[in-house]
Amino acid sequence: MNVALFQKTAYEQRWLLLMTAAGSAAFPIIFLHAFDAFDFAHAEAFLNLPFVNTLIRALTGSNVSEVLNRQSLAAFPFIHPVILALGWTYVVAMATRSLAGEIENGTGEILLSLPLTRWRIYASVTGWLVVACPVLACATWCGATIGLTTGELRDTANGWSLRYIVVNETAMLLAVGGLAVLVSSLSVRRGRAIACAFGILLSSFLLNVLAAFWPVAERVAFAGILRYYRPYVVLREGGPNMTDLVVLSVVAIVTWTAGGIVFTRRDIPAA
Amino acid sequence: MTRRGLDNPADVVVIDRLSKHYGATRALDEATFTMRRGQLLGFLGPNGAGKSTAIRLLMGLLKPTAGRSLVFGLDPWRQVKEIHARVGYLSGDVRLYRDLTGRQTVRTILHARRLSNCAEAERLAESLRLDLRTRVRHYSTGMKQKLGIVLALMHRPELLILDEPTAALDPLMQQVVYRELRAAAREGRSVLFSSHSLAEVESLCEHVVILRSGRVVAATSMESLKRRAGRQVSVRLPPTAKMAPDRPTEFVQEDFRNGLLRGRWTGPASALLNWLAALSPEEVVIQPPNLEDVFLNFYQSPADVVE
Repeated sequence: MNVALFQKTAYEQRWLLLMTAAGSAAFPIIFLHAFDAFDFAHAEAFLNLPFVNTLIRALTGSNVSEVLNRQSLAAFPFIHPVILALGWTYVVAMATRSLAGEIENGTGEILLSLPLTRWRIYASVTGWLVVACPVLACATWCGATIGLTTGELRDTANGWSLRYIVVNETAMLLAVGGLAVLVSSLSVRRGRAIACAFGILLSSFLLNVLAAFWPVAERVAFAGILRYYRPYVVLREGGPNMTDLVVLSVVAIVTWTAGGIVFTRRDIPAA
Repeated sequence: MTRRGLDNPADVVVIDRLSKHYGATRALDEATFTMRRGQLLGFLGPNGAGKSTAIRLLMGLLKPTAGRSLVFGLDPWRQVKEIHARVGYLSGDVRLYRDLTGRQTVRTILHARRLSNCAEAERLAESLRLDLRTRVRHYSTGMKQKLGIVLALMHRPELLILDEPTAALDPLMQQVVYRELRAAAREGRSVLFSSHSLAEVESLCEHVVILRSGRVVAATSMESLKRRAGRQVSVRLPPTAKMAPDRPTEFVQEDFRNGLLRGRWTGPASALLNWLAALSPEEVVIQPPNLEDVFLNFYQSPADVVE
């Protein structure tokens, strides 16, 4: 790791990270306050309809009975598409800017003329993910905790019980980051890298949703990253699911390492 | 310049049958030349000749398809760290971090090189009249070029690899860059200087490598090129001369009309004077070698000169 290059990346990324973290914190507050007026008793009959139940399971990975109680509702912001979109957008933007973006802009030549191995350059400019992913996960947790303590749900749930979801979200974002870095290292155009990374992520999201309806999708659902991001399971078990964490960590490490191998062996074309 | 062994310590850069192909396109094709310590070497060729490809291979940005290159006796693809510590590089199209100021850019690169003394960078910026307080996004193309030159020179590297460093500079600033490069060469540092401007290379470099379509068509000294170019000679013969006189092999006749003989002399000056004296001319004009013709000849014809 080269400190100067890491600092440069941090300097470039600071505002985007701050804004994404602010969004990740603000959304759970608004979302949980919106549930203050939610009528659980009357909604339960509707939500237990088979189709609606399947839909909930597709979106959350859990049954209505697990989701629809005041305690588990606190975990809902963590799987909400807005939070997923915010985290993924930041991670993909950061990862593609660091490699494909640098090559496309021509600034990669400045980095690659330094007396540093390509591995070191790679680690220095992508290492920021290790800072950014926990920050984003913590921001969501902070927002959820504030939303819980200031809203109607404060008597039935507390932010501390959600702390292990932060670990699961961090691992998920790191896996997404590793994947995006790999795609970025294979590309010389940032736009192409972004499209490819989002294509993979949306496929994973769709696979996860389809797995609730379609047995064929269920059989291959293990290949999607979101399969291993299950905040409700973490909340129910009172701790991180180790299998999920191991799978996400392995995906993050393998894809990041593969990205490094590609980056160290590839030609760097002129911008 | 002759092809020597790959381990001569006086050779800063050795390129031996180096090739880079992109599918059927041969960006560089079996290029061979050497560069000695303290040399100011001009790298000439038209656009697309392979200059930038050769430079990018030397910087380890590209992996060669075939052949070999050495910088300070090290492999540019495998030993980048050791080589780049001793090299200053300016790419052909300078791109910088837009959000940083000039000074932040200088400091970031210095720190990345584990250096802290900005004095040389400040001196260079002052010589080039570059304001380091401004953000790069507000720099003009010329100012970005200046900052690129500062970044390449500020750590006082043993070898400077500069891809068209004066392309976006005004003539005054070009002179400043030439002065810096001459000073570097006087200190025993080496400069590989790519350009498609003949006048620039002629005024600055002692040696030249000329590329055409990815091939080295000349790798020689400027003196040798000038000798090859020959002197332009115009001789007005007496009115009695109705036809061109017999001429020595060193004289290449280009025109003979109305008693005016024009051509190019490639031999020694004494032989020229002896021949002219025998002609009893009314008027003689001898012009210095026209390098432009030689270069155009290299660009257009398949003749190769490698010394």
